Amino acid sequence: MEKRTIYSYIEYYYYRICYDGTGGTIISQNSRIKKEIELWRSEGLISPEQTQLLSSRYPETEFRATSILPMLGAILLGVGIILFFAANWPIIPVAIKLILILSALFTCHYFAYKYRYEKNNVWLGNSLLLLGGILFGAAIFLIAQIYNINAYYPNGILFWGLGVMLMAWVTGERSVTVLSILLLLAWTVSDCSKTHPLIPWMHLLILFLLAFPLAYRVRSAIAVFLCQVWLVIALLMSISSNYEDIIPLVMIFLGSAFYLRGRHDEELYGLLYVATGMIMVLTTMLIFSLFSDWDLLYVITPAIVLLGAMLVGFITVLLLPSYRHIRMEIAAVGLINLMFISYLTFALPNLFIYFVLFVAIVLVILQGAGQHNRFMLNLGLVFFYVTVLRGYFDYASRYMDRSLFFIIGGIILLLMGWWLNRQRYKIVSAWRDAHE
Amino acid sequence: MNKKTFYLVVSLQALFLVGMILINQSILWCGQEVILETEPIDPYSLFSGEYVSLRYKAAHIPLDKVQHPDLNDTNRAAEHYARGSRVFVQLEKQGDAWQAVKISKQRKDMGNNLYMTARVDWIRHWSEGKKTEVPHIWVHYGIESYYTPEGTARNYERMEMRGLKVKVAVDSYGRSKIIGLIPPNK
Repeated sequence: MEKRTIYSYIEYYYYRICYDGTGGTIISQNSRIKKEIELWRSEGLISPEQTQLLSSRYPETEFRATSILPMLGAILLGVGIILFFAANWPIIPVAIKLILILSALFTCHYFAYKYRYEKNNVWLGNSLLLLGGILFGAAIFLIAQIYNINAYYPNGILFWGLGVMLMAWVTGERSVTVLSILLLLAWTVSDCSKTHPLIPWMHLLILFLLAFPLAYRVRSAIAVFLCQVWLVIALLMSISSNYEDIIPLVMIFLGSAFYLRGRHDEELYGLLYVATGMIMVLTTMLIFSLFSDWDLLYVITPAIVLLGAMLVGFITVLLLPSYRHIRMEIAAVGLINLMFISYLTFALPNLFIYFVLFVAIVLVILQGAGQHNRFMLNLGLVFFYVTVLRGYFDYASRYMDRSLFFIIGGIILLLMGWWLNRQRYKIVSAWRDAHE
Repeated sequence: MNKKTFYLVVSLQALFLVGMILINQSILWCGQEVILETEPIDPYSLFSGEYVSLRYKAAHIPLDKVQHPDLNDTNRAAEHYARGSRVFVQLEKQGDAWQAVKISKQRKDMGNNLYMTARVDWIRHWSEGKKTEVPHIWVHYGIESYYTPEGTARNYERMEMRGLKVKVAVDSYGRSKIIGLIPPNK
């Protein structure tokens, strides 16, 4: 029977948000399926052999406090050790402190290996590996303290993250992977807030050459998601200190790229990319509906470069044969990008942003309905309600304009609903006629 | 999971830590002792605890008071000593403490004299609230934090600590490490 750690439960809830009913063995669903299988057997629909075969496909999973507590304990203990050394207790000589931390590091890894790989005690082994990762950081910052290395020390977090990442690559454990990505994300925030690089090369190289491949290797949705967040933060931090006016462009471009990547043969995390992309694009547009006087004229050169890149990107993707099956979606994404860019560049009236947003939201809802994907459908509906509210209270536009906008929008949606229903009726009727 | 690979990674982590210790310790073992004047303030580090932030007099370099052999025209100082660039600062003993007497981006300009490696923080025509003819450079040497036991950093901010000095070890490559603080009147 598969033993599960707290980590796999976090993963599970994450999957439930993104993969609602779309497949995979989901823990709470398994017990439901088990009951269904029992029912089929009692009704004589399936044989006992088939019952056994189906039951083994959906294993009952353990969810016990004993598997969560060591993981939480390891995190608390690790944080406690960092704080213990940070207190800089003068009673303990420096040499003893160093011997203590190094021996703790070795002992912890010794037992981690023993429990994880020799005794196959997954939860305890993983917890000790996680503790080992935290101890490595505690050791770095203890040495920094002893030798009075400057307190602003992002390289300390970098070395810590890389050390833990090496362990994650070797062991393939998801908990250590997530810790390493979180640390390197913290390094990006710490380093970029001080150095303000135009293009954070080192951060992007580590992200794309080490972090993303690792997240895929250990098959962790949380790790992939954290890498996406890391990419967004790295880009936001670099452009916000150099060309903050192109933030919305970069956000919707990146969101669109995530979306299209998710729709294009992305095996494992397709919906994750689609969801992140959709949320990024819709949130960016919603937030920038607040800035009625935003325009790109101040940063015309980088904006033109980025617009050129976007145009080339969309055309390339449109022409690539492997993207043929999603050409309509590429065109739709391109159109939404174009409309949003026009809104920013030409400082169009505020109501225009609602128009673009509603087009995007309706597309999300239609796609959610078409693919029977409850997450997409709910996402679209949430954004629909929020946008209606935001539009209602948008004092930058006149009452009459807003009123007309909502009335026309409402009529269009009603007509669309009527037309779609009619199409559906026609298809069903044709199908029935063919059968009769 | 291969046991050897696992322990190789743990050993690499330990090796990194030992390397970190040795690099820092070597400066203390081989470096020459100098004393620098400073002003302390007490912030807090998330991972390493309380520390005293030190502002050295030798970190404030007025270009009209020091030699700058690699720069002829001080109007070009801002682009020559750009923010973040590495510079070498020669120190000379004046009274009890050591002061900056020469700055250059070339190590060879330091000759056989004692010098410290630094990075430029900023360069301005401004000092102590007044506009200046010649630019002033502010640098950091990487020894601006001194960690103290919990609850004691605040003591260094008190008035009687004005005139605090720092004993520093400087090796022949210009790398420096704090040995300890010297309270005023000692």
